[in-house]
Amino acid sequence: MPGPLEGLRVVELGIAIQGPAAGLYFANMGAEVIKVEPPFGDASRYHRGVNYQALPEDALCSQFLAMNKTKRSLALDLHTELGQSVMGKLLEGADVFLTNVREEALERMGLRLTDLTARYPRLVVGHVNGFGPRGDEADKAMLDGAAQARGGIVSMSGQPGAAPTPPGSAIADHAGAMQLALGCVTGLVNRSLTGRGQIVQTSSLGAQLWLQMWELQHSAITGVPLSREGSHHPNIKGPYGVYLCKDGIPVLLVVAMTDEAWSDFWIFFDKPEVILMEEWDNPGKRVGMAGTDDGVPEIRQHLRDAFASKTFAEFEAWVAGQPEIIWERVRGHGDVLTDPQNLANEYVVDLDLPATGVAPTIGTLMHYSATPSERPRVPPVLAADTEDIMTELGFAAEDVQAVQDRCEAVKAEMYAALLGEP
Amino acid sequence: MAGLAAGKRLKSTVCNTEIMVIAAPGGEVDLTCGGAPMSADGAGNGGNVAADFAGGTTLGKRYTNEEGNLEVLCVKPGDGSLALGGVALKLKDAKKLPKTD
Repeated sequence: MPGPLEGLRVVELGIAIQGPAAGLYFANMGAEVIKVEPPFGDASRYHRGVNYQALPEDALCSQFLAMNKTKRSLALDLHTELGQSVMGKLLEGADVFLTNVREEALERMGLRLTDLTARYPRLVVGHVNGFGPRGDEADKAMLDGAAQARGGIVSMSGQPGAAPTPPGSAIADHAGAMQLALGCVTGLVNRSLTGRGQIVQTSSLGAQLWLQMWELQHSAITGVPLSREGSHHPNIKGPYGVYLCKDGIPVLLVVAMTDEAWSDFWIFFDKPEVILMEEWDNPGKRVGMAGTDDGVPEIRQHLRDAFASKTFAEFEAWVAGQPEIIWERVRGHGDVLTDPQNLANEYVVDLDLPATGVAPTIGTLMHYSATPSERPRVPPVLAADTEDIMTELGFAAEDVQAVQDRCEAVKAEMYAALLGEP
Repeated sequence: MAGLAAGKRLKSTVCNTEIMVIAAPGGEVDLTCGGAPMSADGAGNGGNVAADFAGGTTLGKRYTNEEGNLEVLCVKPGDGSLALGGVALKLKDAKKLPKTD
């Protein structure tokens, strides 16, 4: 079964993560996603990053691979009349156009957003940028870290008194992409009710606020901005936090739900006197509902001492019989990619890649009972579908050749300029 | 036995039971396990668990008297059972979380 969005055509003009990840959502759900790339391709095709030295030169780059599975690739020079003509024809039959290209650049390609909805009234036009469609900085350049910093999330990570720490993931881009996908699907639902498409705009900055909805609301209503708390949540005044076992393995302890489990926990660590601390003698207090600093440094020190007295294996063997204690070992990427729970849910699936062979990739992450989506397929080679798509659109063979020749010429120029290669 | 305070740990002198006091009445307290007085270090005259106090203790469970002014937590289980003034302590029901659904 091809998925719940089978029959929809999505045209993606996306670069790097934010736009392409939104396109990926549609591809995962069974829509036909045509990725329109500049002649040189999406720049993420060339982002090799760390630890790639051992891989073949033609290994798919991880950023492109992750974000562009199950799509078709159409390479166009959108600064030419023919390129714009192909794009126009493509959009005539599309349900969604989504992009993270800045508006001024879109205009240079003949893709002004308001023109698109005027020209294609049923088209849902999704646009995501760094800082939102309004305000003085609406068209400001953005990379993921900038939106993270602007959105406050960086200030909330790291040790108090030390430099803030960005999270180890491009969460601004990914969150912006999720918002865009959600916005476009909502636009489609609205179109089914009204018959009209519209422009849907969001941003990675806005997505940062979505990610921090509770914490920002808390700062707003109290008038006192929350601040970073290192291994603990800034608004959970209690045991919640990361602690190191005797062998250095980190554990995130959330809460002991019942008083009995709380007693058992401290008996296990041979510190039963801790249960006498009135600040933590019921579940609400332990999950931080009291919201005061009373007893917070003390309980956290007790927990640091306790975990430091047991190896992880000792703790894990004991806690296996404690369903009311909510905790997890802090896992690295190696663990995540082999986690039985991720495999059982097909959150991680194997993909047979050119040049490097079978490797895990992220699955579609959604389970639909009646229209299950297919596993993701290998991303397209640059321009792999140009001929087929243009032919489907009714272009003559010489037009196809002209588009391909133009792309090859521009690509050669780009190679020479960027890499010094002929 | 001299007065007990919250946090005080006591050992049975006739079995493996160890407890920690959660709450205690003031004054002298006659707390026994297996029919024999408990002590801080478990040292005593030796002997066996008395037949009338051989119900055993369970790890992590709380025990209390009828009045509810004595409460202890079992931190190590054993064969003896706990009593105050010769009256067996009862197992305190674990607090259940209210259903939130």
